[in-house]
Amino acid sequence: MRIPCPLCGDRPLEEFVYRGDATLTRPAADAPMEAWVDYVYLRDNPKGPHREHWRHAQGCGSWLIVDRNTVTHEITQAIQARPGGEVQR
Amino acid sequence: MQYSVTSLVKQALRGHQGWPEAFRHPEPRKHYDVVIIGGGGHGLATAYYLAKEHGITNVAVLEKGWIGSGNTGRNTTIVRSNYLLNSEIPLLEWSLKLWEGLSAELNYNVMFSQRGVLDIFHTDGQRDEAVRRGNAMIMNGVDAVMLDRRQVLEMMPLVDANNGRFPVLGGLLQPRAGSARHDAVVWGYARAADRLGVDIIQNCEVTGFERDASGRMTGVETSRGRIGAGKVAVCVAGHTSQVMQMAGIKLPVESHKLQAFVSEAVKPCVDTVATFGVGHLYVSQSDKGGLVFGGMLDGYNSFAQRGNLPIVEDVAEAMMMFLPSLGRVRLLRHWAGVVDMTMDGSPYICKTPVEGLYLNGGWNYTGFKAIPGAAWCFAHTVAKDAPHKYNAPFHLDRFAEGRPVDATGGGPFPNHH
Amino acid sequence: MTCQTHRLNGTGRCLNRSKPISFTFDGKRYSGFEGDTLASALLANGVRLVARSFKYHRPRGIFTCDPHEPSALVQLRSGARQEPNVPATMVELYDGLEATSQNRWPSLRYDLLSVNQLISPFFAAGFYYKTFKWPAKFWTSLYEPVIRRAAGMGRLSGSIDPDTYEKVHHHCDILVIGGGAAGLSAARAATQDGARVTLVEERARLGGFDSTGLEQDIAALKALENVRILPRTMAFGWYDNNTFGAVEQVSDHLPVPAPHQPRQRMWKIVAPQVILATGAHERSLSFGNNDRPGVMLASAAERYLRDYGVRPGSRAVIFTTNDSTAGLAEALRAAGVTVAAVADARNGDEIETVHGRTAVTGVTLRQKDGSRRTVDCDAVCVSGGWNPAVQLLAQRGQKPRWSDNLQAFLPQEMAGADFLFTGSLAGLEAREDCQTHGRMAGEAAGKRFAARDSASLADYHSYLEANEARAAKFAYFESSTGKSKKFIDLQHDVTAGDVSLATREGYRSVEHVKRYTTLGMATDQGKTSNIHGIAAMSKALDKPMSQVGTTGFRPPYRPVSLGALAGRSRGKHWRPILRTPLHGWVEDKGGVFIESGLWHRSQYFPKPGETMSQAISREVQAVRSAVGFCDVSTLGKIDLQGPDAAAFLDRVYSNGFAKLPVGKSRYGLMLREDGIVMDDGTVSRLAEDHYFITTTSAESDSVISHLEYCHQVLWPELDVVFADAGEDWAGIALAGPRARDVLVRIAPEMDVSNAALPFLAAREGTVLDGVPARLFRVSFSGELAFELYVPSAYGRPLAEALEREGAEFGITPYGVEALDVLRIEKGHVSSELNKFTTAADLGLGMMMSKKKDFIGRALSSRPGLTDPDREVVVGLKPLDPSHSFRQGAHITARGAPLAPENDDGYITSAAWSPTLESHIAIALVRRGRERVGEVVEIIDPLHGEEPVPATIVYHHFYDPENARVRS
Repeated sequence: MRIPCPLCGDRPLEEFVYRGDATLTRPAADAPMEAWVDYVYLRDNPKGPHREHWRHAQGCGSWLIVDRNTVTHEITQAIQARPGGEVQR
Repeated sequence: MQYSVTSLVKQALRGHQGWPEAFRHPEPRKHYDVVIIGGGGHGLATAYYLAKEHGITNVAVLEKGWIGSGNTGRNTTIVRSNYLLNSEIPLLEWSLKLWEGLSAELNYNVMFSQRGVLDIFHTDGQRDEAVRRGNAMIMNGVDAVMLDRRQVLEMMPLVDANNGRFPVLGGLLQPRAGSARHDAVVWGYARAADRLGVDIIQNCEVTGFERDASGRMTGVETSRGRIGAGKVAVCVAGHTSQVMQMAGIKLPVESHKLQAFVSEAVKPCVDTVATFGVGHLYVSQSDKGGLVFGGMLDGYNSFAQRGNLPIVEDVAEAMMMFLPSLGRVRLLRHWAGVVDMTMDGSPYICKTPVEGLYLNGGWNYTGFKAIPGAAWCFAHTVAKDAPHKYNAPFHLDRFAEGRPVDATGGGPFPNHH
Repeated sequence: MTCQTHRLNGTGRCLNRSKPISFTFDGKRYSGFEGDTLASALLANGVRLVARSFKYHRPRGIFTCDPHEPSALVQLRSGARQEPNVPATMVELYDGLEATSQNRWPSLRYDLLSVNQLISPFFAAGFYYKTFKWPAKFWTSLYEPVIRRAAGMGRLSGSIDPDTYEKVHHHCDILVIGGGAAGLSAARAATQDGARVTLVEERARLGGFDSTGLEQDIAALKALENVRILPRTMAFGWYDNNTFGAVEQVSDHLPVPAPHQPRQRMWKIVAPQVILATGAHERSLSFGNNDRPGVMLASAAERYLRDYGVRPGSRAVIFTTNDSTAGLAEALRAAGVTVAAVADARNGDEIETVHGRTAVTGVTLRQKDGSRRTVDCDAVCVSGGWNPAVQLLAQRGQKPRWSDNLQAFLPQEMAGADFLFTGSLAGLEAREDCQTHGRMAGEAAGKRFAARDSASLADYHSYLEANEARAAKFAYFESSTGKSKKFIDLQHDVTAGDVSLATREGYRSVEHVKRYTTLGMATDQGKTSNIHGIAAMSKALDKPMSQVGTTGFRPPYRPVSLGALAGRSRGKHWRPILRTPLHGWVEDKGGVFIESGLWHRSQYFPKPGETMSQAISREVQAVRSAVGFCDVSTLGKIDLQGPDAAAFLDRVYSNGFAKLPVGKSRYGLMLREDGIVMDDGTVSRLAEDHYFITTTSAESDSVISHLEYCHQVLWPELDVVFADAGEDWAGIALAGPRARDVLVRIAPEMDVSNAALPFLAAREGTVLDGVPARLFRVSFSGELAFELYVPSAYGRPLAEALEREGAEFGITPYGVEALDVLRIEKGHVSSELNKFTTAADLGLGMMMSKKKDFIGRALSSRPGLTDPDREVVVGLKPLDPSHSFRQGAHITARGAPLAPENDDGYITSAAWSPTLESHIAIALVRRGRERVGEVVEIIDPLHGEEPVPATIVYHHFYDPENARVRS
């Protein structure tokens, strides 16, 4: 598998570290306990398109948001996680 | 027909023309007391124990493909109970005890081979963990033996003790552990369940759940029509999230893929099941002669039953560090299974928030060895509507309660387990 | 030396007859020529019997001229280079080659286990599952060992593989797999628009099945600058995003690799487009005793005649279903072979059974009218048609499509995948068709390279459709009569009868049949057998071939050596060794190293005659009584700056940092979001917006990754930047009551008095002659101590200066063992941060700020994490100070039986304390803090040891008032 890093270009899988679901939002400090449990533990785990976090650990160090299909492994987009970052389609 | 020396001789003389089907291929009935979704080892064994232990024989096992087509038929077949936590050892040890009598119980040789599982350690920290674990095992009545470096090398003469990146310091051995023939487990349970009246229905995919006004399960929609059900039990490793989602339940599960490897057959050279504490390598040799081995997850969510090169290379590198005489052995085949990785590395064998719906899933790497024990407990849970003490820790509320069963300390990162 | 009885004069396109070659098989000497394969040379010498089959140990000969030869597997070479299961068909002959037959005892001709043939009626498919169950324990102790010894194939040397392997990354625009007529045409056409093209071919020579007349094409292709041709290179795997694995057999055709050359080279090829021209495999037919040595694929017979000048026998019978054998009879006759009969299944003729045991002596033919006749012969040439080599494509999860017209499984288009296929893989037969269509494929790929979406594939598709529409292959797989075994899988001895037995027993899925019979699981992975299994199932289940379907094909396309997959990452080079800037100095001092992650850290510094424990105690005592220093460069170091740095730290550490004054250090605790402790370290504020963080050695990478996640993903609005400074600084801990005396001399330009540099002070300054340094008054040992950081290059000079300047005060270097003893005495946690513990478990509950949100705060309040029954950190002292503890030993109440419910915890750290003159330990004990003063038992049944009575104490054994660190 190869991931199109927006800063470094198309790079092989072994340079990246995976974290997981990028659609989760950290609850507010005063959120109820259920919200925290959901955030930390529950996953949609879709079979198909998945928005996920990867870090280009052996490259620029960027955390990326990657749109990848969990069945075909096709990647349709990779952007920097930080707002205003670079986009690679 | 009972499999025996007599029946074998008789059939051999008749050209094997008289063997009956190992299991029937029935049409689904309109209603079953229990519908089990998933015809892998866990599903079939659950059906068997429901019938045998609880007298519930009006049971169907629904399999979307062919029985054993999931992880039961693609794993590296290690059977062991060398676990760390008091909350997890009893279940796995009960499973191992059932394995020990399984061929006789099922009248089907599952080739359970107690050739030992040897966890080799390379650093002081790993040794300390092995001591902690070995003592926990013994406190739970499980066999555990500490081997020093010399004893490890005697058991595994191919290990290169001198030239590896990490030294071999010793190993923790569970002599009663070993490996088994995965397909035989599927077919053995299928045949035994079938003989007790269970309907095994292949090529039947569940597409939806049916519930009454109170929310209770009443049946399933399938590719072969509606099937009524008093209770529904889910054993669908790899697709647990998808099936449970049909009941509106979101799980602490991510699906990952785990690769497995087998070499060409060679004359016996690895007599035990060995694992290596660095490199995440495990290796054994099948009765056919192929070296069966594996390593880490590929590490990202995936439903593809195929792996990528980095792990292939990783595993080969670890093999060549520890067993450099295998450089000229050829890899015959590598494949991947989709595993339900959970947030603590432990499974769910439990009731669910939906009445009449039960879950056995989230097996991470470890589903195969647990088949007899977990299915036995799951059958108990389904039949009694309450967990057995062995599977009581493995419920879905444990994260909200802060009581994960996390033996590696990997935390809520499924790919760290 | 025997003579080459079956060698023809004059023919043999691959041979160099001027170079005779001598080799041995099973110790007997033979001769061949340069250009021979081991198989062709054995055939030339009239050797028929070369192997025994896997299960029945039936005699087997050379069946193909292909890489996936199922029968003629030999053990090649001897000594450490001995290699099992090598197809003789792929071994290029070299002078002095040694090969032996395998899986037989005592000899190939008289193999005792061939008795299995006699009892083969019992050995039908599924035999193992039905037997060997009584009594249960006999499986492991008796039956299985016998089976294991009988199974397996070749033998390993058991010695370390002496050869090297290497890896190459390769990028090209278009990859062509297969160097036959179609692949050659495709490659050439693909270059026309400037694309860089790479062509891989698994055999040594290009040209495919018959390279006659292709010489110019090959030369022209080789002359092109933008083409790279890799012969002897097998593309074994097709991975995501068109990443291919291929293995080049660099030296396998040589006695030993040339100096500095690898045996094999693994290519990792990335190609946006790929053209598959992997060809087709001829298939056999299913008839009685079709496995006897002398039965051979028709294409193999043709190749041996043409390319190697070898005749397969003197009297041959041809059994065919198709036109590809049209020229064979003539070729045989031209070579002086009598063609005794041609049984064409299309005419209703077939071979019922083969006669002979270790070699073919004749066949019984059954003619259309039912009459039988026996024909004497010593060779049988079979063709059941051709199977397109879809295996590589099928690795992508594509199910091949059955074509009734072509009587074959064909590749299909796949959505979203950039590949084209051509040649006999696509069902084409005539060379001209392969070339024409190969050119179409190449041109299309070249155009797509030049301008995406520019190429029309209409011609490419219609050409294949027309070919298929025209085809009308004869459907025939198995002879209709006969009682002898009809083998489907030659290597695994699976017969047509096994397949029908499996289906009778209810194993109806193609995967079940494969698994129940082991069909297709041999080294050829079903290339010669699967189609016949499917045909037998089709017959038994009365289902069309298309509904039976194929089993999945997996990588590798053909078996690949583990050595090649590992490359150079083996032995000591498996993973890098991390060395600190002081490594060389430690070596010079005679220090002993210990593995710590990827680091080699100094463990202790023995003096002559000292044991390890003596050395450690001496080092500890030096620190307690005078001064010592220790390399702590492995600690993670992070430089953090920005106006929001304090706010950021407040969110990632459980304790507060906003109020940390400039010039101060503070111990910090970092949690995971689930409330479990992730890491600890010190945070020092060097300026209003500038912090220096240390992490543990083990977690330095994961902490960086975590902080980057927090910053880039969770709180990008915080204005903060940080850098991994781990390799920038060498770190040395200087500890002991005389530490300041030494420091004064090392850092003459800094005021290091207790007033100017109190406990937990943090300073930037210079040491030695103006070397920039960071100085922190922090203590892990419990003594007056400093951590000194200098740029890495100054690590060694600093160590040497400390040694020199501290000599007067008795300065002693100490390693991680003494470091650990010191911290255990002091009661600092380290190995207790084992991913199971909360801050409260560690006795650090007061570090959980109540004034702010931070990672791990919310979930820390879950009942399970605040349960009073949790295991918490305490100290242990044995009643008898000489009783040692072992890390990993468990704790029970006194007299409690060995049972899980009595498991009260375990020891995490243990040491002999020279300071307390007692063994001591830190442990995680259930309700430990309430139980201080209780005498418990330390149990270690794993080592068979008697329980050791010990008292639970507070874990701050040494100087609990913390006076010494402030002195």
